[in-house]
Amino acid sequence: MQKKRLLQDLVDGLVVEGDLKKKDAEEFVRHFFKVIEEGLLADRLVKVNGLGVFKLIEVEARSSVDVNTGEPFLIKEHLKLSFIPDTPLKEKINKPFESYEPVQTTSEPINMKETIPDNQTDTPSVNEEPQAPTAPQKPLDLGLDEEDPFEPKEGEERQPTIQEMLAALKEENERQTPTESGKRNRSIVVIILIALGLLFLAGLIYWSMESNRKARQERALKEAMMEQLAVEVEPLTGQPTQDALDSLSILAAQENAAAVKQPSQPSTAKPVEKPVVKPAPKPTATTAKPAATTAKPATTTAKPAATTPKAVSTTTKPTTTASKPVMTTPKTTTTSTTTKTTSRPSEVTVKTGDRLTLLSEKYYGHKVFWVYIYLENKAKIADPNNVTAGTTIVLPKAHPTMMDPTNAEAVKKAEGIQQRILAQF
Amino acid sequence: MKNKDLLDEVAQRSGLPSDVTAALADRLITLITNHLSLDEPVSIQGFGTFEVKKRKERLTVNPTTGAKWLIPPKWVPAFKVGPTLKEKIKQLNA
Repeated sequence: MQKKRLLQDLVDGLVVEGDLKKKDAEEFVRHFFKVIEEGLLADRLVKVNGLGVFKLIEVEARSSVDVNTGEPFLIKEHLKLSFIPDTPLKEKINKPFESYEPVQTTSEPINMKETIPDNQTDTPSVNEEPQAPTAPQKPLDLGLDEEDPFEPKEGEERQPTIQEMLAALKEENERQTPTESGKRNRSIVVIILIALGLLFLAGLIYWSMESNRKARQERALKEAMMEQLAVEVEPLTGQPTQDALDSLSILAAQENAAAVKQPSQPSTAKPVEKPVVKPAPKPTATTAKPAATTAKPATTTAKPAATTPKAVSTTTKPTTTASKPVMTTPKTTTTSTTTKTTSRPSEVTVKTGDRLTLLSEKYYGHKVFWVYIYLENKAKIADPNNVTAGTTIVLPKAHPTMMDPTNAEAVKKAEGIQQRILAQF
Repeated sequence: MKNKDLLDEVAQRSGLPSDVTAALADRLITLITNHLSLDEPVSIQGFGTFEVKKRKERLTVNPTTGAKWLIPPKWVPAFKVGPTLKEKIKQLNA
């Protein structure tokens, strides 16, 4: 804090700059502030260009407590002077800090998390759910192989199993590719999406193979050189292959799960079409082998996700689409809504930033169905426009027709309810 | 009361031509601004004090996206009412 400037300093400044007498300058400054004061008292608002706005604002009466006695008393309503500086003044004052700008501190805003994975990671995440407990347990031989090769000793024997797996994956993949040329266009778009998302998996396989091979080479070399130390060497060499196998076992587990779910398909949905169609020469499958092989687990696992919930919730939808390979389906609205409903828990705790409409959009496919969520939780929600964070609300079961986002009548009805509810607030 | 009303009134009272008044007012405000930008408070007897305050940096959260933003510190001009004027406002209220 520097020296305080008084009216006299202003007058001096005016005289130095201008060519008027000191007396006039002083008179002018006095009048200037006097008029502001009087205008303020008369109009309650004075606007001075370049300086700002002086305003009298009303302060409501409020109760307070006497600091000494602890007695409550009422602060009467009164007026308060508020000064809102003009932009030029504000900018001039803030010049030293001008260069600073607001910075976003977190690298991962929440909405980004929610929007990006929607089309890609949604499908893989679904395969975590136990989809087909009723289906006959028909694990692939690859899956069974997994059990014993876990021992770090048998690095040599594992190599063939990996190759077997890859071969099997390739075979499966080729069998899975859709033959109908009509579905090509849509399927190609989806293939591109999935291929992008699963390039990472391809890298994983490559890496695991690489490390496995290295381990094998190392092992062979060491064995040749010093056979008598084999006992010590083996655990060492087994170490990296163990890692590689861990990652592979994830893939194999997915494959296994897919294999389990595949038979379930005909049992839940009507066996109109067989999921296994004759092998088709697919350009992507042959050119980008790693990508194609990895794309496979995703497609098979995503498929049951689309089929099983359909049998449960939306019975009206044709089951023929369900038995088709999922490559074609994610575009249609039916599957997108059903995948949404599968991930709907029975209860949800409201977070900061959540709205009933957002929840509804997320779990029921249309924001207007928030009215049903509200009606279900009327006791807990005081104001549907402002739900307290931390409130646990029950998500009602989706009615097949009443809460079908594709049904215009259902939407209309919900809108009617919405109007009635909003009229109360 | 708008800026024009203010200048008209000042011109009338001080007996100066209105263009001179406008120029003087402009200079007066520039003077105040310059003093303030040097972190010198300007106090006018019977009216109040213009001063500069520092706003600290703070974190804000966008309620819908949850994104956190760091708002940088800044200097803002402020006006403090003098006791005489404060009393007058109080009486106006009563």
